[in-house]
Amino acid sequence: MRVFSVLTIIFALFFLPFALELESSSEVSTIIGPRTWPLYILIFILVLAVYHLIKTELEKKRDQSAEDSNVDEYGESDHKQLGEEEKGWFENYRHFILLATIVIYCILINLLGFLPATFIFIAVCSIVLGLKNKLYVLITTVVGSFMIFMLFDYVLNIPLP
Amino acid sequence: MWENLSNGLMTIIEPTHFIILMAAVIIGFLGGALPGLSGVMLVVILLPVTYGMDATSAFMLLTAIYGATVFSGLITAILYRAPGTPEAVTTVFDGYPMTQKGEAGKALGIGISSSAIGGMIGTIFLILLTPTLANFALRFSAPEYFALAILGLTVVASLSRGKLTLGLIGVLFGLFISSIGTDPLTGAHRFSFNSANFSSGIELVPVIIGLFAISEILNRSSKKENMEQKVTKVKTKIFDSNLMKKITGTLARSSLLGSIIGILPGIGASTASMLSYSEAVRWSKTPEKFGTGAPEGIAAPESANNAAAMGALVPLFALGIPGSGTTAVILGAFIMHGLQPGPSLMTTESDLVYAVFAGLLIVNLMILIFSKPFIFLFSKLLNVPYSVIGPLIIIFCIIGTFAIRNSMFDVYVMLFFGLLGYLLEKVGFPLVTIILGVVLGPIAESEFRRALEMSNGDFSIFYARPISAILLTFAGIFIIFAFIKPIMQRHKKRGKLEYQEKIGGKP
Amino acid sequence: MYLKMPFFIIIALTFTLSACSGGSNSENVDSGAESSNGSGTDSQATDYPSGNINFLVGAGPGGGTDNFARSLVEQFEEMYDTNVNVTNLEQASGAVANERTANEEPDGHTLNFASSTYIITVAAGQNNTGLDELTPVARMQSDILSITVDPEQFEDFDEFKEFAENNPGELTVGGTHAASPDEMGLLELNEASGLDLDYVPYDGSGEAQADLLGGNIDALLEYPSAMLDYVESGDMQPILFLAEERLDEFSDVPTTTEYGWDVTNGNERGVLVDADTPDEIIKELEEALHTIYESDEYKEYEESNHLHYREGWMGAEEYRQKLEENKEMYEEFLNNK
Repeated sequence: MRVFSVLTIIFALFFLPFALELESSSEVSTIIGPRTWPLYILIFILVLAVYHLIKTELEKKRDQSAEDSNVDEYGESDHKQLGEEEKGWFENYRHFILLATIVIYCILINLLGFLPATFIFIAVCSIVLGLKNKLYVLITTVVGSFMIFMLFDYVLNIPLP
Repeated sequence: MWENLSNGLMTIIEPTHFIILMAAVIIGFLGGALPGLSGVMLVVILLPVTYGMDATSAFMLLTAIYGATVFSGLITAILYRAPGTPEAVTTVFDGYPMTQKGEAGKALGIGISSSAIGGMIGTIFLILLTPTLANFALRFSAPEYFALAILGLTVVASLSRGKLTLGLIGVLFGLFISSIGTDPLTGAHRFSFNSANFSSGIELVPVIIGLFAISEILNRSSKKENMEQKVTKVKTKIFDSNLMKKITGTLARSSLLGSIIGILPGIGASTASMLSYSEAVRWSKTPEKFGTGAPEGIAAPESANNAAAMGALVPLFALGIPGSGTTAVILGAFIMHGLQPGPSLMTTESDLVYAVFAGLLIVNLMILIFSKPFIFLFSKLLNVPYSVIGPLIIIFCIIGTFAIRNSMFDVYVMLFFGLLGYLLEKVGFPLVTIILGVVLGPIAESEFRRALEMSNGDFSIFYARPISAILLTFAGIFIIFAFIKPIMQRHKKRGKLEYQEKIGGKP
Repeated sequence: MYLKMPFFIIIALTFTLSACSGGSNSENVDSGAESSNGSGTDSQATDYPSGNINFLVGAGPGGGTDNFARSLVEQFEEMYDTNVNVTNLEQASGAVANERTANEEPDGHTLNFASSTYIITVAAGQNNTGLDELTPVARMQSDILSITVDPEQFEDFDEFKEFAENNPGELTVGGTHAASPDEMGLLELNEASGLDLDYVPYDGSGEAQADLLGGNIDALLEYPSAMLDYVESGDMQPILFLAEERLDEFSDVPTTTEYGWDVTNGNERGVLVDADTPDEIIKELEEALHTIYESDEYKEYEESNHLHYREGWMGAEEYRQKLEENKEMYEEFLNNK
């Protein structure tokens, strides 16, 4: 929770100088300029984030056992799970691997073209997501690529990336 | 009018027209069900096909597709948390939690029946009241739109589920995102970092798909037990009389609200479903249940977006003014077909207009009839292992996001919001509030400033006009109420705790 | 389940239908590839085109610029026996379309359809793709702006003018977008006439029309095609055209020239390509566009969209000059704004 507040504050502080650079109301012909709205939003975000940080810190001090109360109430089982069982590093970081795969896929589309990149992506992605049988991987890949290509390029004629 | 309508019905019964309508519903179903392929895109794609048709068939096809896409966006929203169309984003909030609880069939059933009812009510509005309503819509201008947006924003208190500070940060963050790009009133570029990509602003769809669909895929992939999907039997029961009784009030309110908001030229069906969801939360006796799988949470947005989709056709037919993105394209099609859209269309082309109206009535019926086998097919997909369906969902999300503006930048935006959504959900952040800000932000800001332009800086424009004054008063009451409520609840809770301590029970 | 059978039949039917349309497209692709050895009608001299042609439209679907591009597709495909893809890139008032055109291969296969908005955004410093990166091929349309009012509020322009003179800054005039041809038109008018009319930008012309019909603004900057039906129904009336001569269909409506104001810019739509494109390809395209411009089909389209009041055609050279002049003028306006 502390990380969240700090990151929010950093976010607001990062954009604040850009907001201040915008033309103020008196510099443009419209009655309210382009600066006003985002500027106030950022200031409010800043104030709320600081308030939230102080509030959570105070709560933490007041009651040691109430640590992460905000998380437990709604975020539920996430924390318990992490400690519960010993997972391999692969399972632990699978979602980040997945995200990396998607980003690489997007780059590959530009390099290789849509169809080959999609082909590779479906294969890799289904393995990352835990498909073990090699035959299934192959079938998914071929059928999936074919289906998507047919649907978007042939039937609908939508420009592909 | 009745004569016109029956003429219209006769036109539809002609085999070619009937087949066109059926084909349109099915194409619309498919298109709407694929995340990212929205109604606007389908209509644009099929526009050249309609050049070869006579005007009646062409507009039946286009409007029927439009109606069907708005409907079928709910399917993937409920099953995979990936809204098929932007209009269905609000359906995710309660639809997906129901699927997680193993009640996908129930959720779909509520969605379909609400959609069809909303669509019907919208169409009836369209048929009976087009001229009257169009004139009513003209009384809405910048100050009223601003008031409406503010009213919608005040619901943040109920949407943030007890964490008001986080909820407020979420809304403000959403508002901030929507302010990136070209300022609509001065043309100035905000936070563009001198790149054409940033200066075009952040689209709603990448944000939605990222925050919900991609973050859910990441979330699932991080949990071992969810990878091997439990085989669930999805039984879609379209009309469940007990449930229907429970949601009748919501349905009636949302359909009405959806129709009215849809008619307003400045607001589309996505905003209508967001606002009607907000109102459903506000009117509910158990607002805390929203977001965890409340039936009303599906009924409200689904009836509203379908009603609004029909409502958006009112100003199009009566005034020649489009009420949403898709109707703007249909307006273009009118011109291409040599018709002059405008106030005289209703009288000069009454056969065409009423044939389209009658077509829409039939389309909403068809939606009810066809949806069952269609959803049966889709729900079969739930039994496909996630490792197979996951990559396909990701690719659909990417293509859909890309296709909106043919922009790879949007895809990266979507991935960024995917990661953000994943992390924010870990800390229990109410994601809904961000969407609230993104949807209503542009309306709130630019209409506020436009209103002041219209009045030359005189703030009285907001309270001197009756509709805007009433809406803003309500908004004010809700804001005050939002601050009082937690204090009251604290008192209540304390009283309860003390009482329980006294009798020695567990809290 | 009894519904399943017909449902599948319909699905099959739909797919056959769509396959048909898809099929014809792919044929086009094939023949497009074959025509690389120069089977096009006008293309004996060069080996243009050697593949599909892309139309990049710097505006959303359904608008004037989009209709313009799409109205050319069929004739273009016929003329060059190839496949034309229309892509809408409305982001950043079309700047993304300009940028992409400039970054594509300079072989004349990517055409940028742009409106006056292009040169305005360049003048405003919001568009990095200037006339050094793009080169004009031809201008084909010159849409005429008008000041349009509710006839119950103002009878004619003299009445409007008198009110504006007595109440400077009071009258609000709606238009589409900021930094657009509409806004520039009003700024020019203000400058030339000494009136002080207040511009209110809208996200679409429909919303602006709604606000005029609802009496929320006093006037509208509007093009003939968009207002004709309202004029017939008596809800709107143009009171001044920003043009040299009176329009045939509105012979009782005065023009700016009559008042002695040299304000005649409307919305000009034309075609641009990458500045590095070889001259012969530009020449080729210019001729092709001129052939289309003179064709009956195009004339028909012009008339049904009410674009025929003013000569639209300008060749590459002339159009470049016009764009450069306008850029200078707009820069001045935007700096003094």
